[in-house]
Amino acid sequence: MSHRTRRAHPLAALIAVFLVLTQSRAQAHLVTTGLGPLYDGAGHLVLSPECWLVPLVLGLLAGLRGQAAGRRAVLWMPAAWLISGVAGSLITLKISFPASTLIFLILGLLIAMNRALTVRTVGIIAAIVGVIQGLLDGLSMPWREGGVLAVLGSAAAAWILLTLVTGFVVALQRPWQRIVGRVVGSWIAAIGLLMLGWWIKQG
Amino acid sequence: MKPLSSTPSQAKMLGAILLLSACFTQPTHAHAVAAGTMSFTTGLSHPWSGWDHILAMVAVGLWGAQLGAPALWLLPVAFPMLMAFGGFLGLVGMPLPGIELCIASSAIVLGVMVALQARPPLWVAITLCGLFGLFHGHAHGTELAPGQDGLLYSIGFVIATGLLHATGIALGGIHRWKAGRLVLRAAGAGIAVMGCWFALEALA
Repeated sequence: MSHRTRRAHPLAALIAVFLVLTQSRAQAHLVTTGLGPLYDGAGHLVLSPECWLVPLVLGLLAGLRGQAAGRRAVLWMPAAWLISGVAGSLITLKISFPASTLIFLILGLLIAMNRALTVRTVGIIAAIVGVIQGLLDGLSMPWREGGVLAVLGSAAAAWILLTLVTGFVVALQRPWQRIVGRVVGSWIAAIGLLMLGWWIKQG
Repeated sequence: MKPLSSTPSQAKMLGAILLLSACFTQPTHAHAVAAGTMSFTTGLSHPWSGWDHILAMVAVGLWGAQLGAPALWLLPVAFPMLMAFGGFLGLVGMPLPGIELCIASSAIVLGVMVALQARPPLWVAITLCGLFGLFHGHAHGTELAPGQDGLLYSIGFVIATGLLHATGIALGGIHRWKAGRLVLRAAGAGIAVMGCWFALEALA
């Protein structure tokens, strides 16, 4: 890989993040891409910050814990997301509590504190995160409206995002790079805490 | 006449301008704009809304740069965490006494620390920054405009706070030179003076 190409990646990532953040609010219903439920599901994840932040945070946590933990997370989170999402699309349930808030808060704290988690623990965390987020996704995608395919699309998009972030973070070996990762973790925990206050305020 | 052709650098510049234009476009609405569409930018601009906040956060970065590792990154970790906790208290309606005075005091104390190149034990520095972060966060939490998207607002808010700390750290990089150390101390004194002005305004 050329030096020029390597420099282009963070810029492209920054532009992509900026574009996504400046988009309008995601709706309760699926984003319609016109390409079918599979892509609608993927589009839903990409355009919903509370959805795409989850694999990003998990990737940061798993990546900082090394290759083996990263591989475990990449395997467990999408699998749990898919199973839980399919189950969620089959049932009708209203969950008002923003579960992703707790995910941000807990995972952000774990990253900031640099907790020495075992590979197994990272796998369990990844599975729990996948179950929660997949269920929330599935509940908004009823099976009658092609929900199963939509869940597959969102799980695939989450898997791609998680793999990219985990791979990127695992490659960060210099001490200052890992410190930046921990600082980002503290920011994520702060976001989770603010969201929790927000939710309580909204009643 | 010179033919109209663009060099690769001009093409890149044009591409960058087009991309930037695309970034700042807003959705078109036939009816009133739905709440939450501007939440990220609102959150991003909120910490820049007052000099008392800006100076205190930059001072955290300056002091961290003076203290060096691990305070260099521990202070900017402690401040947003406690600030978010303060924001949480503000959002849920839990009052804190003397908010404005404490915010003004943060600029005074942090400015004095930078001016004196103070080197207290690490836990003292973290506690001090965290405590001030709590009050700054509480003020932001109570001043929050209604109808925002919580997540996008919080992301923008935390990123802006981090960028202010990073600005302080970057400016504090001049600490490695003798003249730079003097400039830094003068800047600290300036922040403290501004803090006194904020305190007078709070008391008035």
